[in-house]
Amino acid sequence: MIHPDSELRFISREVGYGVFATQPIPKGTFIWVLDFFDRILTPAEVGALQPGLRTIVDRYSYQATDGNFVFCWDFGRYMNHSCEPAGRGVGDAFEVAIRDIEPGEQLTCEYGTLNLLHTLACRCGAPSCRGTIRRDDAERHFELWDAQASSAFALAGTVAQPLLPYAKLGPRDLPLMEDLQAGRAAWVPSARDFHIVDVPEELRLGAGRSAL
Amino acid sequence: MIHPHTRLVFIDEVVGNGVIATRNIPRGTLTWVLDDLDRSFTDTDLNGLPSCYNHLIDRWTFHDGHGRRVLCWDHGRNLNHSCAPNCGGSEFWFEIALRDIEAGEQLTNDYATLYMHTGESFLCRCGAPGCRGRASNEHESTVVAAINEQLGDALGILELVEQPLGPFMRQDWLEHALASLAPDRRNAAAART
Repeated sequence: MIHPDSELRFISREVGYGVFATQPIPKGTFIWVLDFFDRILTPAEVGALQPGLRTIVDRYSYQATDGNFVFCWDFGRYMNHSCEPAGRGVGDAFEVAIRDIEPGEQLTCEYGTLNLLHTLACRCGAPSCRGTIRRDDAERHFELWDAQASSAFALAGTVAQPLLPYAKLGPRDLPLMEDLQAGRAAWVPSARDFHIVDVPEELRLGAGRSAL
Repeated sequence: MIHPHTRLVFIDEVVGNGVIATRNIPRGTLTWVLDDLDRSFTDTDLNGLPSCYNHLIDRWTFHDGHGRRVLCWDHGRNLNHSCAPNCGGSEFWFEIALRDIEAGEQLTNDYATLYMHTGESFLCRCGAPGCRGRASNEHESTVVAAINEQLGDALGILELVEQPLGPFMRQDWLEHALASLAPDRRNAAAART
């Protein structure tokens, strides 16, 4: 579920839609959580979808650490990538703001942790834009990403968390929640652990764009 | 999945968002068909959710009349109510245009056909001639009978209009709808094929 202080806006034909903050959102806020309405599909279910739906799932879902695909029910699925994103993924269910987000600023995330089936060209325009986003980017960049995620999550207990009651916690979230409730600095799992090396068998010969 | 020639738009502060046609959609066109990305929950599924979900369930899901609550993944879930709706049929897992819908016109259905609870109601400002003022299940049987009449007629011309959602439609749903609406329509449909 996407943060309530955000809205969907059309950006351009090339980029499509994006999600923008409507109020200031402080660092440490969960800007998205996995919730119970989000659809979870196994690789076999994705492979068996009708072509029209398969295209949509290819474009708007991500592959979680357990190997299943997550298709968000709300406009959280329109969050764009940035090589200098506003949020980073933490645990199984959370995307945390890694800086203070101003109203009108786009809520962006890092597709390098989403186990992309296809290499994507990036035109995010950030000074450190990588130009290409690959399935295994976390292997090269996890140190910076982990440092940002840890520094943001350390503030999670000090800011309003409207999405927290909706979160569908996964196995990697339980220790995080214990630390959060106890007011301890959490040990945040590494972005490197998000990465699944193999593209699922069922999806290797995907329709449309060429698979990795 | 909602018809591709539709778009989510902001209507006004009172109504919020709604779905409009971006091109003319003729009567008999499938405007929505349940697909594999829509979710369907049993009461047991929903009772297991944290109570903060209650407002989301009320707002975004509809009763399918078969014990399940359906949550559309796309802007199919944003269809507004009208006392003179131009779409109907969701209890059969699809919706069809009950009359010609013009580009720019809002797609609507009558929420009284969606198995509202007794006591559940809302003020209606749809502005249609014959607007009931308050939508509830009080007039459900009359409303459903009137819509079913239009629905049966619209189903009769299903094969005569372009159906972008055709690939998502299931024959057994169509047969179920035809059988429920009027047994003689089923024979008529069978005779045509």
